[in-house]
Amino acid sequence: MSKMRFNNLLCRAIFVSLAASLVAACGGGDAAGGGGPIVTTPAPSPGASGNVLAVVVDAGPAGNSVNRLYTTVTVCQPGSSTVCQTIDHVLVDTGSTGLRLLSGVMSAGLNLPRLAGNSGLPLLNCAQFVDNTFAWGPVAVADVLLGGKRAASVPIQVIADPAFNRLSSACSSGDEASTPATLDANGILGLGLYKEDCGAACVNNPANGTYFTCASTACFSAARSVASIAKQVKNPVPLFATDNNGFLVDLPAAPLAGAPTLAGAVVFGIGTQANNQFNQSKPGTVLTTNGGDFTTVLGGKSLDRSFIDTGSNALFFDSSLVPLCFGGAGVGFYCPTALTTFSVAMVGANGVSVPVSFSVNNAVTSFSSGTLAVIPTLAGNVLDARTFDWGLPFFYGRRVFIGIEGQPSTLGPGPFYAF
Amino acid sequence: MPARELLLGLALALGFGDAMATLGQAPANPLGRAPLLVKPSSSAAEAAPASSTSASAPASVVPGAKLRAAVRPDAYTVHESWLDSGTTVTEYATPAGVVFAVSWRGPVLPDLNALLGGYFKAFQEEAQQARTAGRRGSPIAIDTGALVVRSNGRMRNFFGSAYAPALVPADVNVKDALQ
Repeated sequence: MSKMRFNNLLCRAIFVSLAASLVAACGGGDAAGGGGPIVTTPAPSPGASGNVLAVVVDAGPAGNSVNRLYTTVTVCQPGSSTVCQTIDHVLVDTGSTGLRLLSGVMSAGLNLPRLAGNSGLPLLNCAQFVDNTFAWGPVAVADVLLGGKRAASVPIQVIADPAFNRLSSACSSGDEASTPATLDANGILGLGLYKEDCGAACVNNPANGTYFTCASTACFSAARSVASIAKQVKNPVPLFATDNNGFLVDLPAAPLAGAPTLAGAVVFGIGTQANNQFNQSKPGTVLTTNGGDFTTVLGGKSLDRSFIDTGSNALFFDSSLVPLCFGGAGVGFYCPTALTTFSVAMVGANGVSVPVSFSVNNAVTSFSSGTLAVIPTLAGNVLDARTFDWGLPFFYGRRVFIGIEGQPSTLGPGPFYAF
Repeated sequence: MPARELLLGLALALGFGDAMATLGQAPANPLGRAPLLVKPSSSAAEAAPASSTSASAPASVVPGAKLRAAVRPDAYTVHESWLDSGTTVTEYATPAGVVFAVSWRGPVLPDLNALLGGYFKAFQEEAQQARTAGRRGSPIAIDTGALVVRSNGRMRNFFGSAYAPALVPADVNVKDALQ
C-alpha cells in the first residue's frame, strides 16, 4: 500500500474529533502513518446515547456494497480518554466474534499495546470467513466505545499489520482481506452469540487454526499458538459494566423496491432498559440453538443447519421455485420473473416454531439501478439441502434480540435469537 | 514461506496426505494396504470406527489425525480424518482409488488448497467472481459442471463439501452421500 493511499484511508477514517495536526497531514500526504500520538477527545458516535449504537446500511467504503450493516467505532488506548480514534464503516457482523480493524485505517499514533503469546512474542490471529477470505494480524488491546457504552481492555485484531505479514499456511489458503475494498469495510465488529472468537478449543491446543505467534523476535514466520480465554479476541458486549447480556438489532422495514440507505440501531442489553424490552409491541418468539443452528422448515424440508447473520448480505437457501440469474451481474443470486413470496417456519432447539414470510425478486433488476444499497428481496443459492442462511434482509423491519452465551436475561440464558 | 511453518504445513498435508486425501487423487487410506477397513456397511452413514490401526496407517504418520474408514464395496469408500484443529474431513473414493468428493465440518476451515488440489484454482476464481458480483460475507455455492463446491457456516462452525461430477461413479448419488 502506498503512503498516499494510507493517508487517504486515514483521513477518511478519522472524521470525528480530528486533531488539528492530523487534519493538516491529510492534505500534505507525508506526516500521517509515522508521527506522534493522536490526542483527541473521544466524541460519541453520531446519534449515540446511552445503550444505543447508530447503524446504517449504505454503499460502504468502496461505494458498491449491498445489504451491509455499518457502524462507527471509537477505540482508545486502554484507560485513556484522549488517545483515541473514531473509525467509520465498521461492519456489524453477528456471524463472527470480536472487533477487527484494518491496520491501514488506524493511526500510528494510536499505538495500541500488543498482546504476547505464551512465548512472550506477539500473539497473532486468523479470522476465516466463509466467502473464502480471511483476516490476519496481531492481537492488540483497546478500550472500545460503542454508542455510549465502553468496554475496557478488549483484545481486538489489527488486520494486515505490515509488521506481521508472514502468514501461516494454516490460515492463508483463501484470499486475504487487507483493504477497505477487499474487506468491504474498515473493520468488522463481531457481535455474535459467543464471547470469544475461539473459546475453550484454543486454550490448550496450539493447532487450533485461529491463534499463532511469531516464531522469532524478527517475526519472519508464524508458529501455532494456544491462547488463554483472557487473550482471545472478544465480543465487547459482555465486557460492558451494564447492558451486557446481549443486544438488539433494530432496523426499520425497507421498501420492497429497495433504498439507497437505511438507518437503525443496535441497542445493548436485553430487558435492562426501557428501550430493550422484549414483547414491546407484539408477542415475540425465543429460538434457542444447537451449536448456533436452528431449523428452517421450507417446502416440507427441515433445514437443520440454519442461522441468522447480519454479515451475510442476502437470504441464502435452495429452492426450485426461483431460477438463478444467468451469470454476469447476478451470478449466485435468484432472478425470478416476478416477486415471489415464501412462507416458512423457523423451529428452535427448544421446539418453538414461528412462521416467517419473505419475498425474493430479480437480483439483476435490483442491481441495475446502481444506487440501491438496501435490497430486501435479494436471495441466492447454497447447494445445501440442510441450510438456510438468514442474512441482513431478515433484519429489515424486525427487532432481533441476540442473547450471548452464558449471560442471563429475562428471556433465559444465551445463546438465543428472539424476535 | 517461513521455514517452520512450511514444516507444519507439510505435516498437515501428509494428514490428508501422503495419504493423498485430495480431490481427484488417491484416497488418504488406499485400500490396497489399508488395515483400517473394518467391515462393509450398507451405507456411508453407518461408517464404523476402526477397531485398530497398524504401523502403516496414516494415523501413525500424522500425529493427532485420527482415522476411520468403512466401505461400500459395490460403490465407494468413506474415510474420515479428524484434524488437530478439531475439524473433520471426509473423503469419498471410488473402488479404483480416486477421491471423487470431500466434505468438512468443524470450528475452522480445512486447508482447502490442499484438500481441493488441482481443483482449488477454479474454486478460488469462482469464489472471487461471486464476491465481485455481490455475494459478500456469504456462503459459497459453485457449480461449474466440472466442480461443485458448497462452503457454509460462520466463525466456529464451518461446513461444506466439494465433488468433481466427472469422477463420481455412475451408481452413486453424490448429493445423498454428502448430506
